[in-house]
Amino acid sequence: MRILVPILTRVLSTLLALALVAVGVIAVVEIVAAWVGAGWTILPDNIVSKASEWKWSDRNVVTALAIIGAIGLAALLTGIWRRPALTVPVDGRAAVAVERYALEKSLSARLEAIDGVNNARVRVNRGRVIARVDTHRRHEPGQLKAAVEQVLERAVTERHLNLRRQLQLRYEGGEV
Amino acid sequence: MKRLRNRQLQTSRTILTATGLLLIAIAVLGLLLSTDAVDRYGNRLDSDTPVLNPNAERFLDTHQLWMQCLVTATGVLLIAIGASWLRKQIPPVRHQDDNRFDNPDTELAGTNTVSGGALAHALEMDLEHSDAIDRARAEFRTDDNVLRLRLDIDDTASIDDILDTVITPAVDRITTVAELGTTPTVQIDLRPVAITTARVH
Repeated sequence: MRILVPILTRVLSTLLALALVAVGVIAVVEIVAAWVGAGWTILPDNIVSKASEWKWSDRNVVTALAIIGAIGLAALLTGIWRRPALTVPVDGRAAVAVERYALEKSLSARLEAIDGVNNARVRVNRGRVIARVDTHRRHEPGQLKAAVEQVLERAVTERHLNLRRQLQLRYEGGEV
Repeated sequence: MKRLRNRQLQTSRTILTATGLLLIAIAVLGLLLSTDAVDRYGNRLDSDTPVLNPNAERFLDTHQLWMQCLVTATGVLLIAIGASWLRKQIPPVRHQDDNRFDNPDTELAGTNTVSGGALAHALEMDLEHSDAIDRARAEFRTDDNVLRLRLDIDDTASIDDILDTVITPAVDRITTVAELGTTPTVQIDLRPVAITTARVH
């Protein structure tokens, strides 16, 4: 969803913005054409007679309404889908923010530098920093978890980031 | 600047939500008529009559001028919203404002212009002298008295130290040198990165 929703937002926004411009242009051109007596310019000449024949229960009317509804639903869901901001504000410094993606990469690298950590994946989302750490070490994983927590806490607090921390340490066949 | 992009995305999402709600409302109201769940809305939209029924046609004929004005105004509004929305899809582009100030020499009246690009480049070079800053990008919006900075900083360095010992003095220096008058409002986006290569000054 982290990749799909932004792409969908961009695609839908562009298409709907173009559609709005197109509908606006058609409306203005047709009215101006009517005022100067040029008749229908963009829309077909028989548009009024066709609209006078279409029944609300006609298949093409129902299909058109269903398509409009589906596009509207996709736009609404994409619009209200919650996603993390691109920047994380620095506490006490209103003018300063840290870019989220760079922060995630930096935190991952710090955690991966800890002895025993095999792989670390860090996500910053809705006021939380979520770290998923993989290790091959089975001996005293609690110690490793404490070390990871300490590094994560230091990395967050020294940057004055108001983020709650959530850590998940996994090893083959288990989780701490 | 990601903070500007944040604002663009927020606006885009708001318009997307509003458009989605409008399209859903149109579809639901239409489908209620199509399925005979609702018989009619007033006497112009009736499920037993065509989409454009005689009542509606008569109404449009009677109020032709008003309807034409309404459709034109709506069309212009849609074009404005659509164009503005399209513009929001383009990520913010850095733009530098030149700084112009009167010549202080009373015998030689005139105006001096310092290129915004030159100001930005000078500040970037100044900031990059610090070992804690790997890469600096500046945007001088002197017309709005705003300076935007995007800095790749050493991820082991303290943000407070960088702000107090590197950025603030550099901004003060450029304010003095470029005769900006007042210190611009500074907006900073930081990118913590691992600096692995040695710096040569």
